[in-house]
Amino acid sequence: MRIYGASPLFNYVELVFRCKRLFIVAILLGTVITSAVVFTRPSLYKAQMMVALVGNPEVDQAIGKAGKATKGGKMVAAADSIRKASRLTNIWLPRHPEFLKEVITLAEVNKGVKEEDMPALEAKVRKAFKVDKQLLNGQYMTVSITWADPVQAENLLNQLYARFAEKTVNDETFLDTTKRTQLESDFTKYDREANDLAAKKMRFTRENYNYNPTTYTALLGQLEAAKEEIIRQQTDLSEVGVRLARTKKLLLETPKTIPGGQDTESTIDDPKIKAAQDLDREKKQLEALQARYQPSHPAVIEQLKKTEAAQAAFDLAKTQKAEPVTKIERTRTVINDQWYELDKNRVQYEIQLNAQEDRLKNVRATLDKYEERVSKIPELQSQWVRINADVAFTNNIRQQLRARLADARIAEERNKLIVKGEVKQAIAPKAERQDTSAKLMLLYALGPILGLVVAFCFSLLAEALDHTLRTPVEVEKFLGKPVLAVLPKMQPAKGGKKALPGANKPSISS
Amino acid sequence: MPDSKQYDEVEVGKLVPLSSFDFRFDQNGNGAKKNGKALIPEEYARLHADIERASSPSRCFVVGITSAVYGEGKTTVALNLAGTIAQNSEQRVSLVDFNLRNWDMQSRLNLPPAPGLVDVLEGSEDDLTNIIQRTELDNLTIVPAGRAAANPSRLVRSPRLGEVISTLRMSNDFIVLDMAPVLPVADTKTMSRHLDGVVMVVRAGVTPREIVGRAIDAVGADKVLGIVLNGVETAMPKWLQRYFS
Repeated sequence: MRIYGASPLFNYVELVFRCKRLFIVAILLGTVITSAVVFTRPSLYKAQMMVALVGNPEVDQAIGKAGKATKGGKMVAAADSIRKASRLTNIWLPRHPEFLKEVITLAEVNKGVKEEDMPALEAKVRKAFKVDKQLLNGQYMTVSITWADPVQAENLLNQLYARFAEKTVNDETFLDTTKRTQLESDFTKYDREANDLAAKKMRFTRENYNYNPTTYTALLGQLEAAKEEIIRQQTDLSEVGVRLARTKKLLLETPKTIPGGQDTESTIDDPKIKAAQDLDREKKQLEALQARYQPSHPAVIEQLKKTEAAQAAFDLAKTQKAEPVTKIERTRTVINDQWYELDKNRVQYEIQLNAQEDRLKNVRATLDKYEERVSKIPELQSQWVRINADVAFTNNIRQQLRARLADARIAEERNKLIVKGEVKQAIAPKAERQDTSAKLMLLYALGPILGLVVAFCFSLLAEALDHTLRTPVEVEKFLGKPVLAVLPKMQPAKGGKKALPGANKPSISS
Repeated sequence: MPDSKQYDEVEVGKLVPLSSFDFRFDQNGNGAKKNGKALIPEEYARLHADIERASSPSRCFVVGITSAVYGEGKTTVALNLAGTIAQNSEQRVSLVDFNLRNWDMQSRLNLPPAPGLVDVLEGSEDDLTNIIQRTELDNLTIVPAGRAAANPSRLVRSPRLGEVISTLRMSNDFIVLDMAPVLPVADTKTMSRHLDGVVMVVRAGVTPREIVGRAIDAVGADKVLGIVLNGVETAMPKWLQRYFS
């Protein structure tokens, strides 16, 4: 430090005044820069919430957790609180990015943020969160966040609490959940098995209902009835067969047609008349046959053909001219009614025979079926017993599992409610501006102070780098020579040269 | 603080007026004051006393006023020292302009072109008395350079230089030489053998100490009587200096 005067304070004050412009500029610059920085920087808001990590002792006692109300229980409660709180600080916030991502998404802080910028946002949010490691009274956890937007700050804290509470509940009731899940899986399996067995029993019953012991007797009766029916059918069949044979024999012996006289027909040579007569005759015969026989009787069919032919001839004759009269003499034959009666009987007997044979065949099939069923009864009986045993066993297990599952669900829900009651938001977050007026004033005042310090440092540096001689002490110190005279610096004249006031006037003398 | 000097017109051959000297006194003869006492005259008086202490009463004392570099104020100091010695004592003082490379003193004293020391050293002027200028003070004479020398390095090694100084010694008690700066030119170094003492003028806050040290070494530390610190200033206002006095 340069020595200007006797005291160090004089030296420093002299230094300040010597570099006063530097100080003024630095102070002004510091003030302007600090003011600009303080003025333009975004305001930060701090929101803080308090989470209670223990439940109500009275409630704990009521639900049987009386141990926590005792002194030893308090230690357990404290340990529980520490465990819950440490999960947030040591596990979910630092190690599980999806947890923070959910908080950010639910708080809607990521609106307008691109997917590739999300990691940076997550890092920013993680850094903004502050969780106090120390619990207040062993049970309260303080979480705060410093953020530019007060609404987002509160939302982030609220969503953090919500996710924290949810995850805490899930973690604390993890064993209950696991037990319940396992029971559900077992119940589902045995329920399906029981249903399958029930279906199998029903199917067995449906397929083999006749083998039900209560219907076994009926089955035997039916078997006997079928046998009797067969005998009866066989008897009927034989009887019909005999009748048919007799009828066929008689039919062979009976002529089909008999003479019926001679008809002399004097017909007019008008073909139309003859054709009409023929037609009339054929129609009459047809009517007679139709009255006697079925339409499918061959005689009827033949007669029908004749009638049609006569009709055709009549139609043709209508187009022809009258021709000379001709006399036709014909020997008329008529159908033997007896033959036709026999033939009709024959047909009936044949039909009856066929039907009887069919009936007999059906009864035989039924008999076979009954006999087969009766033969299988012992094996099916054992199957029936086994099926019933399996169904009963499976139903029993299912019943037990259902009861245990219900208990597990109740226990899980109860524990979830208990744990939920142990993680409460004691103080809701409220964002407050971080910069108080006093702090702002301090920040504004920081500028000139920093400027002063910087200027002082620069002035010291300037003094250190200045190797000129300014004081007699320095001259003697550095040059080792005495200072014979110290002449002060004179100010230059204002307005150019002028006469010294009262100075000796120049005198011109030789 | 007094105003700057006024240089009046001086006719050729006339006595150099006292007002030409840059004493910087005010109308009452007081310069910058410190504690009611005139500062500048006291400093020159102190300088005079120091030189006087170094000198021998029976012998002329030749003191050279020089500096390390140009612009330190050596001409002013030489002028005022010579004037102070002449004013404060009966001793005969001769102020010699030995700066052969410029007309600083001539222009300060507003002297017209006339033969000077250079003419004598070059041989164009034989009589030394022709170049000596008298002043209003009877015991103060001035020997101007006259003109710029063509070869100052040769002149300072001229045997006539010794004769000039010897001649001046005989008629004066003090000879004050306004010299050239030490480091830019070698004139002062060469001339230092003719001098009884050298006073180094240093401008405060301008000349680095290393430069001054080199100048002292160049002249010879034993020759240097001391330092005149010129242009000292304090930035602290006077009202604040009172608290530290």
